[in-house]
Amino acid sequence: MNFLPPPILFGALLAACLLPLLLMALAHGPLREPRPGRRFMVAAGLDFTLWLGWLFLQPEWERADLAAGGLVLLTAYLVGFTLWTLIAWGFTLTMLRALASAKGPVSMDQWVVEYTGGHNLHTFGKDRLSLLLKSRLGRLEGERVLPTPKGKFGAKVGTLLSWLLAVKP
Amino acid sequence: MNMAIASFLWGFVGFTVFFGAALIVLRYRGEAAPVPRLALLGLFVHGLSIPVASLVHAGMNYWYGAALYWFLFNSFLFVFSAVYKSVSLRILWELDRAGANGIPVADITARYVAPLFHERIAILVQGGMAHADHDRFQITAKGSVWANRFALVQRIFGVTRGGLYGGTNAPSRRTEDLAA
Repeated sequence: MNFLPPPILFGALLAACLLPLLLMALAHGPLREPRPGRRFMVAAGLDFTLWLGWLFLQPEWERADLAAGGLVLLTAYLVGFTLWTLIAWGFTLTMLRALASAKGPVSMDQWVVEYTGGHNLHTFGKDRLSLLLKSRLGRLEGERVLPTPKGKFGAKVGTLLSWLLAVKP
Repeated sequence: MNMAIASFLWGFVGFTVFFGAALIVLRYRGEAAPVPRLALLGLFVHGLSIPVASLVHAGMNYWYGAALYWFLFNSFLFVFSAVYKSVSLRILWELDRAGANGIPVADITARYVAPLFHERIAILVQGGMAHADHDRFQITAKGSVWANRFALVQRIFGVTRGGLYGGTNAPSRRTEDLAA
């Protein structure tokens, strides 16, 4: 078996390694993008553009090289995004940081306030709900949340996936 | 057969074997968390498929099949992580059961959000990162070290404040679910 990557795949592997550096570059200085979600998108876009530039420098390529290179980059973005969510929004780690910044022992309520930056559990609950509301899986009617037809369908897809993956509902 | 296509094919066959094995592995509860178990299984199947593939197609290039295999593997892991312990999905199931009456927002906080905090606090206490004393919590020396490491990584990547209410760091709710 040949373990030497073709040039286009080699370029994709290099671009995959470049992603964290681009995320760092966009975190500081004049290029800084303050919103982490958007920063990841910009970094991935730049990274992909660099790979496209590498493609045009190659005298020839095969469709299989393009497909495999694209898959390498998609994998890098998938893994990178998962790690990025932990750095930017990781729940347990952010709770730990909140506790570290608290002065002395705190109750759970005080810990929540520290974690949420001055809010409480109810606000956090509403924040959690906003995912469902924004994606129109649920709708608010006063202080009650109701499922939409899309939400009912989503629940069924979730049930099917949880059964397939043996995740307890 | 074209060697690139043969390599892609081996990558796909490898993933099919992994997928089938993963569905079995996930049905047996082990001491280790499911994601590390799936990662080990993924490496094992991939490691096994390389010598088998090279016996059948000796001149094949490794990278085409590997690119497809790891892409499919990570997509699988992504979907699994989105379903595993997803708070939003649990709320959605509850809404579906409640039907036209819906659920009060306060109930969702009590049933899902408070237990989420309790669960994470238990993880931190059991891991020796936090110390609990009469319902009051304090960071331990080990917890301080990890908090500082995490803060350093966040500084390197220019994340000024993580979590939910970080101003410009406010997450897309989808990603927060994955991180949870």
